[in-house]
Amino acid sequence: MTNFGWIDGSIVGTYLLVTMVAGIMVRKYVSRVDHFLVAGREMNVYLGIASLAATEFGIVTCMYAAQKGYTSGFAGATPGICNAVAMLVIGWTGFCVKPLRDSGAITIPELFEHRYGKFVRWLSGVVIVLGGLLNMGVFLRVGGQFLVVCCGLDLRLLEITMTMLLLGVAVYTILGGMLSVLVTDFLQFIVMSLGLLVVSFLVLSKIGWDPLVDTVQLRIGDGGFNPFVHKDFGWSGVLSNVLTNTAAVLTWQTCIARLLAAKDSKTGQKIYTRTAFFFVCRWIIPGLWGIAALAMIPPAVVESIGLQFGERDGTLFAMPYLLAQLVPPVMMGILVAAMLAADMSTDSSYMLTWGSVIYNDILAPFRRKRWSERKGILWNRCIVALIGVFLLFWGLWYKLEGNLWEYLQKTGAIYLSSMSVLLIACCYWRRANNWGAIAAIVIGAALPVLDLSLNLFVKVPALDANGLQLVKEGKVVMEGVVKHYVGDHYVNIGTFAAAGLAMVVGSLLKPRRSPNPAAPDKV
Amino acid sequence: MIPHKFLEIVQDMLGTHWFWGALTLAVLGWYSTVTVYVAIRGAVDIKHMLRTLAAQHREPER
Repeated sequence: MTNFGWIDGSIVGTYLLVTMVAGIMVRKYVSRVDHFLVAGREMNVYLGIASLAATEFGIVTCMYAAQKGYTSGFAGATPGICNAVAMLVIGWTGFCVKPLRDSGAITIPELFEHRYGKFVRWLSGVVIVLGGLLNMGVFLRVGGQFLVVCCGLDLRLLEITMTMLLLGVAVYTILGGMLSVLVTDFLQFIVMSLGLLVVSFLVLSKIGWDPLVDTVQLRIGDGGFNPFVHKDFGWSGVLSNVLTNTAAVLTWQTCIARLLAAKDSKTGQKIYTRTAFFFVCRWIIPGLWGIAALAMIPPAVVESIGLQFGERDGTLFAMPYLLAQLVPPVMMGILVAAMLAADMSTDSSYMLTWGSVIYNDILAPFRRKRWSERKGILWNRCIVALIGVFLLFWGLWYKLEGNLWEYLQKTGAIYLSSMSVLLIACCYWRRANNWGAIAAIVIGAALPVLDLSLNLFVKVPALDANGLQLVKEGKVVMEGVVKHYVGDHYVNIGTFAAAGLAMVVGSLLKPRRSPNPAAPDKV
Repeated sequence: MIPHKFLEIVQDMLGTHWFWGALTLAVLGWYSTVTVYVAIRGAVDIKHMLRTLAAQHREPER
């Protein structure tokens, strides 16, 4: 049962129409590749803030932050606080981001070519795309699941909902590139913010603050307020999140795309500092909804919704189910429009920015002669379309097991660890060279991929807090072997440490030949 | 009636687990104000950006 009716459908339809028209209208300004990829570097501070905020908040963000709120209480917002602090410090000091923007590169691998050579640029492009696409592969499915639960759509309509969502986004991204993304992001930021505020006030007024706090205390305990004593966080969880979020601020393609599209490095830094607090918002608001779901929805109901989707863990669906029950008509239309806004801005930006790495860096060796602007734009459009097709099939095929945020962290780590190490070394360590860079990339990608594979194919029985085997519906619950014996946080911390070490050892092992340290190295 | 209830909630938020309560209030306050400000200034940025790009678009034709 849901409160989504025809009035809500009309609100959503009007919003979609306005966005599509705005996105398609600006395509006439795209005449060069840099217009398509970085909006001609004409983006100013406030458009940058709106665009970055809209991109970094999708339905998937809302779902994983709410899931963290449901499972970890207020402490679930820890990654957001880490992210905000990292963004503020990096934006304020210009650490790495200033030299990156001043270099005039379109992507991070392009900067690497000056220090580490062509091969490292290409290899960086490959791991960035691999990590990024695996990461965003689940976005579409999670977005569709939210809409199905929240709007009470038939479960069989999940695939059609996903396809429609993607088609809408793909049309304006393919036609207008970054320009369309920026303009639609701006509209989406306004609609999304309105929806988030309205629903948060509704949750607080209907449930109240004290019941939320009491529920966290009762169901999660002190760990629900303090991440250092939470069983899923602890110091290793906090450190792991500090590393991941700092690396994401430095190298996450959608974040960096805003920096590189900014008018100059000063504008880019201002966008970072002024958007920093938003990263707390994007965890606190959905986290609050997740805690409200913990207070209002019985665990058995949550579990049964998960089983309907064929997912082992139902905690992801608690928040949309709560909203379906709590939000009245009309407001439901605003909520769904807000969530669609959030999702479309994220999907479009992700498709474009990862597409830009494929064009700019992976295809670079195939562009020996300079391509015409028309040919370049056509290739970029084809790449965005192909990413869309990949998303659709990956979204249909891949079933998420366990916690969504941990999956995103792990797939992101495939390149976050190595790229952040390469970027820091590129900007501030004169001895850094291609040996160290290649070693860091290989180690940084190999460890998370090995972890993902072992967890997927080698399972052991999961244990509860007392060391007893977990049993669900008469079956022993299994979990990945690495997760069981090592733990996700230690794998993540270890990956960062190993990538850093590989860079240092690899660089020091290479004999010094070039008298000019700024000259690119040859493999 | 509504402002009274709102004040009660704010009081609760600053009473029990004040850190998370104050952070949640700051988030709601930030969103309420920054959205309006960014909406106005962002629209000006878009206008300016499109004007500059249109000028660049015309340049090669001259």
